[in-house]
This record gives sequence, structure tokens and C-alpha cells, in this order.
Amino acid sequence: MSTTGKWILCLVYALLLVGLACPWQKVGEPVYLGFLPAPMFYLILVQLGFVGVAGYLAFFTRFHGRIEDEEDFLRGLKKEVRR
Amino acid sequence: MNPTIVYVGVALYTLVCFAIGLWGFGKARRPTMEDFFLGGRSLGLFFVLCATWSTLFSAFSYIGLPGAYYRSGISFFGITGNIVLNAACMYFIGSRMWAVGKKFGFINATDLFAERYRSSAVCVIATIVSVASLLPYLGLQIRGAGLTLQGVTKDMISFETGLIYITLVVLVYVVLGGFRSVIYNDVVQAVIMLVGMIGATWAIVEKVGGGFGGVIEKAAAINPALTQFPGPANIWSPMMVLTTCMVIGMGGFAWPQISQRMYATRSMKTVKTLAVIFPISALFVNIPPVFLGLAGRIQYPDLKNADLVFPMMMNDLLSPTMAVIILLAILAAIMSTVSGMILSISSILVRDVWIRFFDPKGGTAERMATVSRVVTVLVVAGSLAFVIWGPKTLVGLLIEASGPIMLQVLVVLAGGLYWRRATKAGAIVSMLASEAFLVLLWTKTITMPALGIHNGVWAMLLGVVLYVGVSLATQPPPEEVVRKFFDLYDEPAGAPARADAK
Repeated sequence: MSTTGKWILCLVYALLLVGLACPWQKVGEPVYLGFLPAPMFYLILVQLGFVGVAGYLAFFTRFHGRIEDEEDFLRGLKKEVRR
Repeated sequence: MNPTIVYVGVALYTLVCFAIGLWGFGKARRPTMEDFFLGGRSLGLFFVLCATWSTLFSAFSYIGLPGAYYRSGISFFGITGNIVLNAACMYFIGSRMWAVGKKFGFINATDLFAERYRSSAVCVIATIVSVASLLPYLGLQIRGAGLTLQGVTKDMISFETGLIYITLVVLVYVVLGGFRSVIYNDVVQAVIMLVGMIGATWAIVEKVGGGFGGVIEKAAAINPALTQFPGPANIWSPMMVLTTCMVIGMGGFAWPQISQRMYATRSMKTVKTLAVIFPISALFVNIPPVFLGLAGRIQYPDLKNADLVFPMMMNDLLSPTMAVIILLAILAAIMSTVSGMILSISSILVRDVWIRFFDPKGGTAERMATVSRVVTVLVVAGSLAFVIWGPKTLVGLLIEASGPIMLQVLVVLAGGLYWRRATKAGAIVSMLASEAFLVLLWTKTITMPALGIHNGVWAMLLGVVLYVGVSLATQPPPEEVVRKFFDLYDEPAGAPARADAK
């Protein structure tokens, strides 16, 4: 993953962290979508936002570098053990 | 509760636990230490998800959480954000732990410290901190289990009987089958917990409010602040929500029984997928208590002890069969947490104390498995003795501050995996100073400006500053150590543009 990409992801994570701290503190609708109070609804959305970012990182980037080639890594370990 | 249904239900559940324990024993007739503590590093996604889920969620989810929502209304829901920080740690730290664990055979975070920092001192400090943080907490869980059983069965099961029953059942299946028994029991326990939580919520909410929306509307009619932030007591300011999430979520990942699961998984893909789906699965145990707490507020508006709200509704509003399912769910929640803790503390003591200092050659696989089993029994006895007879102030502090204490270790763990320049001096100074600072804050010897920041985060900030400062001021770690760890991740020089998307 490029340096710019990592900075953008840091920014997204920072924004989501702010979301976790719930800036909608004064939202007062008692029921949203028929069963959730609005602040809970927003917090669940923020949590799903984290899941989205984690999913992108996990399945579409090489954040952890060469060990992302897991099969190569495990094959290398087997060779070492044999030696 | 009907005594016959209670005894039959508990007996059946106990038989299942023992059967799994025996099966685990048969599966690993001649277990190595790695097998006893990590099940041969072969955990697939479903099992690691159930195990992490059931270990992280204890009886607190059934007793403490509805009580917290009873008092604070939905404002307490902000704290559930800790799960995404826990999952972030799984992704960023857990994936790398899996790789170094696979390559170097680590069993705990503490033996990673010994290798990464080339220092027994770092390992010993982390060991003392981990055991000191977990041992009293384990004793409290077992003691709390006795009290919970006594409370929810209205003295049908006495405190002593409950305590002895839970201790014996968990000990038998942990000692018999080690990690395998714990994991397979975790799966059964996760299913019971999920069925119990969702079933009870559905039934109680229907009876009290005529549905989920009805409960919210009735609670808002009692006090509108119950359905708003920052809640009736005005406690949950944005900064307090965020920093408490950091302490519980990140400190919770550093707990050995959670971080150790990263070593036990079959592949890195499993760890990464776990990080993605764990926050979603956690919602199933984090949302129902909101409705249980608010339904309790409607049903019993003036309870003095809010933690009794769920046991009371269970006895008053649910059918005898459903009440027993909930009782089993609470038992399952306690046992899954306790068994994970027992196994983790034992592994730390065997690997980082027994082998490192008393038996460096390690002996045969059978001998180490026997040592592991003996240590497991001693851990349970020690934790109970400490909680029952230990100095009250110290016990109270260690239990209350268990998450914040481990948060300080997380700094050294994350730094060791991500920062080449991190040194053993930085790690030692950071852990000692931040833990000492935490104690001073907790005992109110020092107070920080009232910014609504959790004490654990103040201590962590000091730890990070010292970790970086002392590391930069001391000799860099040997090049061979840096290469040993970071060559695993570094893309080869001149690697093509595959550094981005796959």
C-alpha cells in the first residue's frame, strides 16, 4: 500500500474514531427506523464503517507486506523445518 | 424456577462439558506443550470466532450490561465501540503476531517480547503485569459465578455449591484436553449464550413493551434522557466514551487469553477475516442488553441495585424452561471466560517462568504436558486464595484496573512489531513508568486535568512518550534482531507496483 494510501486510511480511521465518540450527543428522537433510538443507529453505522475499512485493508491491500503471500511464507517455513 | 428443570438442565450441560473434555483428551494422547496450549495452531475461522466471542463476553454481558443500561439509558451503548478497536488490534497486531508465532514458535506475547527485545527483563515485567492483572480477575470471575448462581436460582444453588461446581467442571475439562477442550466447549457455550440472550430479550421485550419500539417509547416517556446521549447522569461525554473504548477494546486485546488466539489460528487470512466479522458478531450480544435494561427500567422503576434487573425479570417474566436456558447461558458465559483465562495464565507461567528459569531444556513432551496440567490446577487455587484472602485494596485495584494495566503492555507489543528502532530500555522504562503512573492515578495520589479522559489513557500516553524517547536515546537494537522480525514483512527491494492492490 502506498504512503498516500496509508495516510488516507489513517484519516478515515480518525474520522471513524470521532464517530465512535458520538458527536450527535443531543440527538433526541426516541425511535428511529421503528425500533432504534437515533444515536444507537448512528453508532451502529460508524461501527459498520470500521468493518468496511477493515475489510478493504484485509482483502484489497498488502498492508502487512510480503507475508500477505501466505502460501509462499508457509512453504518457506516448511523448507526451513526440513533443513 | 422449577428445581427439577434446573438440576436436569445443569446436569445435561455438565455432561456435555465433560464429554468434550474427554474427547479433547483422546484427541491429544501425547500432547506437546504447543498442542496443550494452542491446539497445534490449527484453529479455523468458525472456531476462533466462537472462542474469541465467548471468551470476551462474560457474565457481565448478562448481569452488568442490563444494569448499566438501566442506570445510564442508551448512552452506555457508546462503550460498545470498544469492539471495533479490539478488532483493529486483531488486524494490525494480531496478523503480525500470527506470522512471528508461526515462524518462531511463540506461545504468548511475553515470549515474543523476550525475542524481539532480546531481554529477559522485558519478558519478566510483562509476565508479572499479565499475571497480576489476570489472576485476581480470574478469582473474581469464579467467586462472581458462585454469587450469580445463588442469585439467579434464588438460593436453590448456594454460593459455595456454585463456586465449587464451576471450579471443578472447568478444571476437569481444561486439565483433560487443554486448548482443544476449551475451544470446543467455547463453541457449545457460544451457541447457548446466543440462544439465551436473543430468546430472553425477545420474550421480555414483547411482555414489557409489546416490541422493541414500544420499549424505547415507554422508556423515553419515563425519562427522555434514557434514550439520548450523554444519558441521565451526564457521564458519557465524547472524550469519556472514546477513551473508555480505547481502554476496554485495546487493553482487552492485550489480555493473554485474547491475544493468544492469534497464534492459535490456522492462517493469517483467518485472523484478518476474524477482524472484519468480529464487530458484526459482537452486535448480537451488545444490542440485546440495551432493551433488557430499558425494559427493566419500565418494569421496576425504582430498583436500588440495578444489577439485579435481569435476574429479576428472568424469574418474574420468563417460563421455567426459558429461565433455565438463560441460567445455562450465564453458566456458559462464565465458564468460557474462566477457562480461557486459566489456560493463558498457565501457559505464561509454564513457558516464561518454569522453562525460562527452572527447566531451560524443557524435558519431554509428556513431562511438559504434566507440568502444564499441574500449573493449571495451581493457577485456579492461587487466584481463589488471592481474591478471598489477599489484601483488599490491592485486589480491588488489580480487578478494577485489569484493562488499563494491559493497555500499557499493548504499547510495547505494537511498538515491537511495527517500529524497528524500539529498544529494550524503551520497553522497560515505558512499562514500569506507565504502570506506576496508573497506580498513582488510580489511588488518586496524582490527578490529571478534568478533560474526561480515562486514567488508563493518561498512563498510556506517558508510556508512548517514554517508549519513543528512551528508545531514541539508547543504542538501536542489533541488526540481526531487526532483520529477523522485519524481513518477514518487508517487500523485497525493487518489488514491482504490486505494493498496492492485489
